[in-house]
Order: sequence, then structure tokens, then C-alpha cells
Amino acid sequence: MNEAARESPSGLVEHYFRHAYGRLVATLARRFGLASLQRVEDAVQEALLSALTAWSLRGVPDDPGAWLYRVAFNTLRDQSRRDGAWSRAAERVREVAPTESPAPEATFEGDLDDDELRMLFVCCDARLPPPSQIALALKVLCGFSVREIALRLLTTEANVYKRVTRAREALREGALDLDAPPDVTERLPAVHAVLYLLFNEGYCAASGDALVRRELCEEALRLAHILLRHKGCDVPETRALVGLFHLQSARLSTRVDAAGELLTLAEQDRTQWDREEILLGLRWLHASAEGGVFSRYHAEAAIAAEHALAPSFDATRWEEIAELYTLLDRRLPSPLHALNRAVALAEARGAQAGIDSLEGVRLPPGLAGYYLWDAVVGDLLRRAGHPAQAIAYLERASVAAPTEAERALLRRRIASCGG
Amino acid sequence: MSQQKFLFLYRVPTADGPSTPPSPEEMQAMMSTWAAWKAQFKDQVVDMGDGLKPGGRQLASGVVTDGAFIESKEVIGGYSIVAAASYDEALTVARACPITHMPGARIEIRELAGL
Repeated sequence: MNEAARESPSGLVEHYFRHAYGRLVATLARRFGLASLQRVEDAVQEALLSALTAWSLRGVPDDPGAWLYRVAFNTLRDQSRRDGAWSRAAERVREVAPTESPAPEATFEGDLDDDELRMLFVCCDARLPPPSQIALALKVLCGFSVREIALRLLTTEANVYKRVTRAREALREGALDLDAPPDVTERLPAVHAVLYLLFNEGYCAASGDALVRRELCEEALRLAHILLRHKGCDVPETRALVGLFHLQSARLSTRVDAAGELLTLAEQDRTQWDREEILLGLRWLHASAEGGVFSRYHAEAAIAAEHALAPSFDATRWEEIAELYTLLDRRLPSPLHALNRAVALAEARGAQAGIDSLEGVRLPPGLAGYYLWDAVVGDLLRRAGHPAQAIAYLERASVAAPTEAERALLRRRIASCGG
Repeated sequence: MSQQKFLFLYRVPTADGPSTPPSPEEMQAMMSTWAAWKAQFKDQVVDMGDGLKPGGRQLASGVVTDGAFIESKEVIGGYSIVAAASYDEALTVARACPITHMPGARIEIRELAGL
């Protein structure tokens, strides 16, 4: 990091401040206890502000991480000395760190990955609702401000603020001990789920600034790689998840056109897919195939790999993909998996085969009226030559679709049924 | 043309009420603008100077007061030393200074007497 920091023209690598924030919060929260998470965040923020002035004027120090650690640590230590009510935390600090400036290598760089990992497990506390888990992770691990999180999750600042505050309170009351993290294997599925959601927030949304939201995908990938570096977390599921992220990332920049509209798989320019990301994805997918484990992430990564390797939309191995959706649905039953399977079967064997495969599949009440279901089923019916039924589905979808581009596309399809 | 030295005094508005501090990303962006300024005028910016901490003491007629600047609308937030042949050249450097992006900030430019 330090070498790269000096080489970069602006003195520091991209996102250094934001990631330094996350690392410092994780490290210091462990030293001072989760109950003082807010104080730790404030102290790190203050240290970065000091760095802004000092480094602007005098240049970046040799070891910027240690510099920041020292400033933030001293602030927290001074506070703890002043504040009697905080004496317990102060005791802890005296136990684990010398009173003088700590040796930076030993306290900051040394167990840095573990601290971030611990914090990731803390954020993925099942007692917090998933939206709060994501907001907290983005705040304390990725170093985004409340405003930046709101922009990326397409919600209001007040909402993000509420989520983060409640999460902090829950952590304080729960008094989770960072020194004795919860059973890694027990909570690992929750960590996977949060990273998966985080990635999808960046990947799936049909609106918002694509470049800004892309950072959510990058952060999910970065955190997943931190997970991989820990022996207990480097399991087949994690590898499959990392493979999935890389494979999806390869297509990120081709998913929207110049006007920012979402492009379907058939419309995307395959020559623009990132070969390096595809290779990385395939390598991780390959590495995930051990011990007979086949998780939902394996299925999804394998599907992404089929698409990534297909020379064209028509030359895609749709039978394989339909089979993978069957496997996915068996592990994680969902009408949406059945729907995707129907799409693949329609490409492989014709639209009627797709429709037939949906026989008996019902949308749960929560998904009733979900426009994508109506849009896809309507389109399959249209292609299979059932215009009257198709129109009913497509009209429902064209009312509920969230963007004008999608509504327009659906209206065009309705018109083509009438003719 | 002989070079004179100029003191840039950065006068910034005092925060009124709690303000949202910049995010880490924004801070890094701000820092890179200072680095760019220094690089652009490497012959002129002879000393980047320093920022000044808030607060302070005043001594007048043997009486010390502290925090005396709280009631004023602006404080001196920092300074730099710039070498230039004239006020015009100094102004060219000043116009590109990142502090100008801070709302309400002013640069007071004073030629050093060189005593």
C-alpha cells in the first residue's frame, strides 16, 4: 500500500482514505470495544481531517496507515482519560496497548485483516435486519458517508441514518465481544448473504448512477476477498461467491447503453466483456469445486459462467443453464428460479416448452403482481402464439414496470400481439 | 524581474452550528487538489505553510484572553508563502488555490517586507 501510495500522482491510491477509514474503525473498535463504535468512527474521521491538512501541506508520510492510527488512537485515549464513565474501556486499552505511541507495525498492519474480518462478522448479526447489516457494513467497513450510502442504496439520508444508528444501538446492547468473535462457521452463511445482497444492490438496480453503484460491487468483492484470506472462511461457498462476483463484474459495463438504459443479455456487446474478470471468475469457480459442496452460489456462478463463455446469445448452452436453474431451485426453491429456467427452456426448445415448465408454479403472495413475472410469462405466451393470453399479462406488466423504457418495450410487445 | 515573497492568509468562515464533515472520499479529493496546486506552481509555492488549529490566546496590555475569536465571523485557518514578481502574478497563483473552493473563504495576500 505504501509504495503504491507514493507512486500515485495524487500521492495516494484511489479510495485510500475510504478504505483506511474502514480498516482503522475495525482495528480501533476491537481495542476500545463495540460500545464505543460511534466514538471510534468520530476519532477516525478526525484523524483523516488532520491528515487532509497535514498531508496536503507537507506531503504524505512514509507510513500513512501508522500515522492515521496514531492520531486516532491518541484522540480516543485522551478521551478515555477525561471521561470517567469510560474508564472500563480505558482499562482495556492499557492492557492491550502501551501508553506511548504504539509500534504501528504490530498494532495496525499486523492483524489488520483479522480486524476487518471480525467487523464484517459483527455487521452480519442476525439480530439486525438485512438492510441495516448492509448500511452498517457500508458505513464502518467501506467508509461511505450517510449521504453516499443513500445515493448508492437509492434511499433517503434519514433512512440510512436511522438504520446505522439502530444497528449501533443493537450492537451496544448486545455487547458482542470483538475479541471472541461468534462461531465463524455458524455465521458464515449470513456473511455470504450480506455480501451477495451488497453486490446485487450495485448490479441489479435499473436506476441510479451506474458508475456510483458499481462501487457496491467492488466493495462486495473486496470484502469477499478478505473473507478468503481467513482459513476458516475459505470454504467452497465463499470461493463460488467470489467466482460469481467476478463473472458478473465482467459484464457490468455492458449492461447499460449510452443513454443509461438497461440492456438485455441478447443486446449486450460481448466483445466488451472483461476477459480478465471472466478468467478470474472461472478460476474461482474451478477452485470452489471440492468436497462435494454445491451451494446456491455454485449454481449461480455456473450459470454466469455459461453466459460468459457463450460466443453469442443464440449459441448459448440453454439446456445446461436450464439444468443449473433446476439445481438452484432445488437448493433454494423460488418461483423466480423457475421463471429463469422457463426462459432458458424457451431458448432451448421453444417458447411453449418454457410455458409448460411453469405448470403448477405459483407466485407467493409477497410477489403477487411482480411486473417481471408478468412481463416474462406474457412474452413467452406471445412467442408461443397465444396473443390473447399474452396481452393480459403484458398489460398488467406495462402498468407496474418501474421505468419508462420498460413500459415502452412492453407496449410495443402488446401492439405486436394485436397485429 | 526580482522575486518578492507574499504571505497568503486563508480566512475561513467560522462554523456556525454543526456542519457535516466531508466524507473520506471527499477528503482525499480535496487533498489531491492541494497536491495539484503545489505541482502546478512549484516555482511559486515556496512554502505550503500550515493549517491553524481553532482556538488560541490573545495578549493585550498584559491581559490574556482565550477563545477570543469565537464571536468573529471568520478566522485565519492557515497560511502559505508564495514567491512572485508582482501582485498580479501572486493573484494568478491565488486564483488556482484550492481554498477558493471553500464557500466563504478569502485569501488575504500581503507582500513580505523582507526586513
